[in-house]
Amino acid sequence: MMNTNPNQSESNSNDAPEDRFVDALLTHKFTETTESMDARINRVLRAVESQNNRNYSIQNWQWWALPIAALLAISLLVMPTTSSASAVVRSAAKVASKNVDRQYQVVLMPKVRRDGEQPPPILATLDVRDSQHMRITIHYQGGRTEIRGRDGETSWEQRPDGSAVIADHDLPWPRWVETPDGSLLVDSMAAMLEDLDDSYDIVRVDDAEACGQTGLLQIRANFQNSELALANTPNEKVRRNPAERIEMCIDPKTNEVIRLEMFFPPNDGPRPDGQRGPRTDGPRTDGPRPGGERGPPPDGERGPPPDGHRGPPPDGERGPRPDGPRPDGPRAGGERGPHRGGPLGPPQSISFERTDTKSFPSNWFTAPANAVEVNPPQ
Amino acid sequence: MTNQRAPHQREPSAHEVFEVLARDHADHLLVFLRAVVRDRSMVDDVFQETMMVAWRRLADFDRTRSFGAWLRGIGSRVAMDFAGRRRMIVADPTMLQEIEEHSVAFDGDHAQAFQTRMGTLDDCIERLPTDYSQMIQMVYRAELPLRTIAVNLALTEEAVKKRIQRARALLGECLQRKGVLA
Repeated sequence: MMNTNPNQSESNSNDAPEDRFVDALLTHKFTETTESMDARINRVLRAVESQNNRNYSIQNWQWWALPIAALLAISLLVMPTTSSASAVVRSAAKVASKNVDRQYQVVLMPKVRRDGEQPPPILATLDVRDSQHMRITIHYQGGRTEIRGRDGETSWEQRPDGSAVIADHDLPWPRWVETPDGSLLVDSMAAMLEDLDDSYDIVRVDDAEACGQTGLLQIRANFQNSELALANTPNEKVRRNPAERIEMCIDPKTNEVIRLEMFFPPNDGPRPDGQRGPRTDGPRTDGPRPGGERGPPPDGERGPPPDGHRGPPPDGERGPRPDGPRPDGPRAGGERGPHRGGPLGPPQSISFERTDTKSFPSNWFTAPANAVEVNPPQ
Repeated sequence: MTNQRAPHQREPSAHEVFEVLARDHADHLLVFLRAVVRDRSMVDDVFQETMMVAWRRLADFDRTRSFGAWLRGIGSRVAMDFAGRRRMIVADPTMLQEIEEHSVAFDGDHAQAFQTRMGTLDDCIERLPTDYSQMIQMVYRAELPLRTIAVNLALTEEAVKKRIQRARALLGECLQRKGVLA
């Protein structure tokens, strides 16, 4: 019977190991060149380099860099489903290297509260020029708006009252991006995306309607629970808080991610790694969180947010930590008293959708001229 | 005489060590993976992933053992994992073991050994009867479809397949005689 798989060698080696090995030798001899092998190795070395830079990148990108990480990671990791990896990498690298003004609408859907009420979504607009020039506008319920940016040298924040702070280090994150174990949700997601091919089953979905636009390639990544996949996932947080499903719509002509949505498992559901509950393995083993300077202050309190008042978290939820008492013991500085509103944990979902391409003014990412504070205490 | 490094000599970084090892063993790993996987679209991904796992686990490598064998061990597991995800069967454990035995025989301490053994393959191809060497050229160099070859040689496709298999068997015998195949 003829071989019907176009990807399989037509040389039809039989199932004798020696025949398969000789077939492999011949294929290698006639198809590989010094250049093609160099290209393979260089691809590996680039990936190694990228992995080495991961912590640095996450630390410096702030959480709003996530879509950039997603674009890069997905472009490099997801596309090899239909064509050779090297060809896809070439085209994806081309896309990733472009510094083009882009805008994304971000929708974060919090989890349903314990009383069954669905908190309203948090909406944001993300403007990106490159990995160093970003600006996000977060629209909270009640009309409160927060604008944060990065201009290549500094991070800045425009407060609701119009004042601004500027810093040459990373500014604190909004509380709702924290996971139950205190790590940063978006850090987890960024790391997760970088390890996408290690931990996820990645398939093309033949559903032209799903991406809402004819011609877009739909990719679905489902977290898989194989021992090897988990072992290959270097980031502990990825294993602890993976998105259980990621849906992507990719323009096959440009290799650009047009829409990306991540779905997280319910709070009380089993984790994909089969574990539940708080960290039981002692303190963080992966070192301080990115931007490690932002741990709790010595008195055990977090301190006021940049806008000067604590206020309820965006979805209004308060109460005990969903995952029980702090597994790593009381905060430095002693007891804290009744818990006053813990991290919210991963949301139900978070989506990024690219809007029509537009160019931003040259000073769009620059810190506001009225910045009133330079390098506030960390 | 001492093994102590001169002050100006720095220790190579893990990255540098890995690059040297990866370059030295890439060809052989790729041959091994092709024998195990065979699906061309999967080989590239399995190769990349094997190298990445090796990089992450480099500290676990026992330097008293063969790096190539260690790399192929990772490659086997990655290939099985990829195949499992795609609900494919690439090779059973016995097949893997036998392919590994051929790989060990073909193995060398560095890249030059691989090229030397590929030179042996060239010698064996040259010694093939014309019909068979012609078949190797059409299938592997020109990558002609079996149907095209069959039409050109006025053979059935089944006959073409048998002739290719016979050519490979002759090559295998030749390589065994020269001590580079188990």
